[in-house]
Amino acid sequence: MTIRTRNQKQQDNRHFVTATLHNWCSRFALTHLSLWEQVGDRKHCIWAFPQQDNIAALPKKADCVSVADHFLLVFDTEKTAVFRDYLQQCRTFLPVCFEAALALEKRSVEEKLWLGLSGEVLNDVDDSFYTKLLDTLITGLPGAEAGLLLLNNERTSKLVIESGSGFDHEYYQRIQLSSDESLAGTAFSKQELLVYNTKTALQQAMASLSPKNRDYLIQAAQWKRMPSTALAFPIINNQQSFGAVVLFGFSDGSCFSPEIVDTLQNVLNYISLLYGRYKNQREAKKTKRELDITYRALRTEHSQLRKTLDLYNILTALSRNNKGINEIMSAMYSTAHTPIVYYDELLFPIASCGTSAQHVLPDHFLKTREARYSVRVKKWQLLKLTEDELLLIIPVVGAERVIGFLCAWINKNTFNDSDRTLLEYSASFLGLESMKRQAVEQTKRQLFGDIFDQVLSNTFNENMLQQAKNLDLNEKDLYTVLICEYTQTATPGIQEQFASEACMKWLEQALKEVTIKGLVAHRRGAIVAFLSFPSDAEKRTIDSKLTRFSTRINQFPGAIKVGIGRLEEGFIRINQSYNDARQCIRLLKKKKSGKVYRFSSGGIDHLLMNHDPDELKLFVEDHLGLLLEYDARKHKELLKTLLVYLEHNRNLQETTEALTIHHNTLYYRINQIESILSVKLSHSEDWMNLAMACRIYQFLQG
Amino acid sequence: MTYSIVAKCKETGYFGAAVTSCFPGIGAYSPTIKANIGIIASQGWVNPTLGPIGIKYLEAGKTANETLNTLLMKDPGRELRQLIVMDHFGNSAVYTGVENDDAKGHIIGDQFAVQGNILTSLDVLYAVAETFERTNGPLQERLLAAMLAGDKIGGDARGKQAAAIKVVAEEGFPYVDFRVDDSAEPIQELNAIYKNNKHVLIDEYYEWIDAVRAGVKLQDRQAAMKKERG
Repeated sequence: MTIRTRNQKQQDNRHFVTATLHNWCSRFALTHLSLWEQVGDRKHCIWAFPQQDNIAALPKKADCVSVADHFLLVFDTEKTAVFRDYLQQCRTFLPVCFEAALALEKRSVEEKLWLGLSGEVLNDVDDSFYTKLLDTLITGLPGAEAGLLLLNNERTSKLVIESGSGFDHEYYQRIQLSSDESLAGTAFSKQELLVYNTKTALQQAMASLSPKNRDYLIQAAQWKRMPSTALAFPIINNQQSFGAVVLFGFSDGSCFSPEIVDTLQNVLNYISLLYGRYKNQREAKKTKRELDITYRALRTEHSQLRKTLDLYNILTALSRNNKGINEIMSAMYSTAHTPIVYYDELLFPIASCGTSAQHVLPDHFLKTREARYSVRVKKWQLLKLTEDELLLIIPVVGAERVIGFLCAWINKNTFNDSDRTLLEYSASFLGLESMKRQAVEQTKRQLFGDIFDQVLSNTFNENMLQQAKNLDLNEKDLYTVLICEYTQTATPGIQEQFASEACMKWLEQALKEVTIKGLVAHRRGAIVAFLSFPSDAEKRTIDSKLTRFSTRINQFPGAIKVGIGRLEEGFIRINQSYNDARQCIRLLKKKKSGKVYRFSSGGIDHLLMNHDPDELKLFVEDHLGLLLEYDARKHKELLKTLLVYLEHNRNLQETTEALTIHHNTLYYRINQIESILSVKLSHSEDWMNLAMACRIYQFLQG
Repeated sequence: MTYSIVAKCKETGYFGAAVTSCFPGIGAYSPTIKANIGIIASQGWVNPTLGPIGIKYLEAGKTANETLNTLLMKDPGRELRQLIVMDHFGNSAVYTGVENDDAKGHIIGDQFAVQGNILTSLDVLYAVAETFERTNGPLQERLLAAMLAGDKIGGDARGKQAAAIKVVAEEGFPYVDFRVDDSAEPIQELNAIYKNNKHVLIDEYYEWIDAVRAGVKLQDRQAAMKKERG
């Protein structure tokens, strides 16, 4: 910033005058020398020795000399007469001296003001701007002892005090001026700089002040009275008033000289510019904050929209290209980045992504309130697993019923809540895909069931053979029939209507595990299946697979009975295998234990099953009757001993161990048995008959 | 619960909402509004805690969609509720839980949203939305006009009992905040309360704020003005 200066000659004159005045002080031993300007009824000090700010009143003991009409030279020295004579001699010089002093003062005030206004105030963009501006004006302008900065409240059209110096905030905050009230209101509305250097003029100007505001002003003023002088000017930006500044003088002699007013007039535009700049910076700051919020919101929404669209595009592409559940799951995982598993309604995992061994459903999942609720309302639920981990359960709905669950293990601190909507959306794709798969499976089952019925009733035709081919049933392959009877509570936690479905799915899964080709359906009140093997498969391999399959069936989590018939060549000859399987089921029921029975491993039981039961009972009576009677009468366990002895193939040591008896006891019991039954166990015919009788006895006992 | 409307005034930036229901004192439960931040309006089986929690999310800079999703994640009874979240920008996100009774639904408009359940028909919501868009004037009057239009169509299938309107301009200084807790015609009454009393503080809202901040009585200033005017 450039400060406007007078020409060099003027500056030289001022320096000369100052030097002269200082020279007088030392030459005439002046303890005080000051130059005063008369402003109305007040006197304004324009130069003083010793130098001091804001001399408001004339020194009491000083002498004075009037110069021209409106200047006064005040001094204090013991050489008064000498100094007065000297002043008389250089009286023509005195007006020049005053003019120079005035110019000097004006320049000094200007410099101080510009320095203040271009320094801290200029760079201030916080709330202290108004206070600093006011302080700069008060300290920079001689005659100003206090001040108020008022801003227009556009909503109430009132001037409200934004900052005050020399006034108590508690009181001045209550002052609200209308746009033409008092000094500030007048300066604001007229857009003029107003100066009041006399009490009368000031009182007239402040007459419009409301009584309340007048009271508040007096209470707020640290002088506790009305000011004696005042200066008010508007803050203008683009020809519009935004506020006003009022500076007050409370001391008796204080005044605002024309030079001060002139100086202030020069900086008014600059003050308005400062205000405009401050407002703009505040607005810019606010706008930046708003933009930051907007940017963040846009960024968030864009990011979510992009994710949604990406997933939508991927899923629709997968659907168009007839891709399956695994691909849909991958797309979901790459979007949500959280472990997910898709279970069917029986909780068999169909597909998973990003999971590890720890990602298993909690015990009795289907009995949890959350799972039951999600099934009921067909909407997602959250199940708390640990402090931070939640299980997001999204029911997969198809044909208006829940056909599965999409489960996501989410960390509540890191999971993006909006991704839940994406998973929910994807689950509907899973539902569609699952329905498609189920429809294919059900059609296959239906066809298979029809073929099965036709084969059993020997009513098959060419059309059926063609359908069988479509189902990959090769006429030359080896087939065996599986029959499975389940109870309605076969699988714990599964609803009644799903029990049959659960068994079928479980069996299908088990067949897959042991790599046996099979078609499963529900027919004639039970689950039936064709298990097929290539015609050239080795019997040992088939047997091994069926053994593994039987072992797997024994692991079924519920009560089922599975019978497996003998192998037949060609599926149209599976009648016998079917009958075998039914017989196996009957045997299982008779045994009352075990879940699976293979006809090929059944032994003599199959013969016994087809024999007359009365005849079998007679046979047992003929060969074991006396022993049974003896045991009953004497409360002995000779039959049990015989059965164990038979079971261990007459091995004495194994029998004694199994019965936990001494071998002498066993010898004694065997002798007793031989004696009661009149047989010799060492005779092969007796042994054969007894062994047969025991086997039939066990068969009949079930 | 029945129907409610939330909106942001495009001119003033004020946030406002109105609600009516066959439930006593509905205004005590919803809506929650914060100046320059947004609105949370919950109905159905109301969860009043969603209001303050949702406002915190909005204050933290979350958008309406984010806030709604987070609130839903934290609310196990979400399917029992209807929830509108309006953010700083006036954008709304709405959720209608499946367990709300029919007729139920919501409409999202430009700087406003409407939701309702147990309605005589969804026409109520359309009437509320259309009237709000069509009406000019201060936000509170547009909201009242919209509510009256819904009431005319049929409103709550169970009947009427309570209504409330709230418009927030400056935080901490209620602008429009009227409630009818139990009445045969709650919306009509709400409208009458507004009309009869708006001159008290609403018409001199900012004068009142200034007076409160200055520590003086608004009446004193009015009296002083009258005195000055003679």
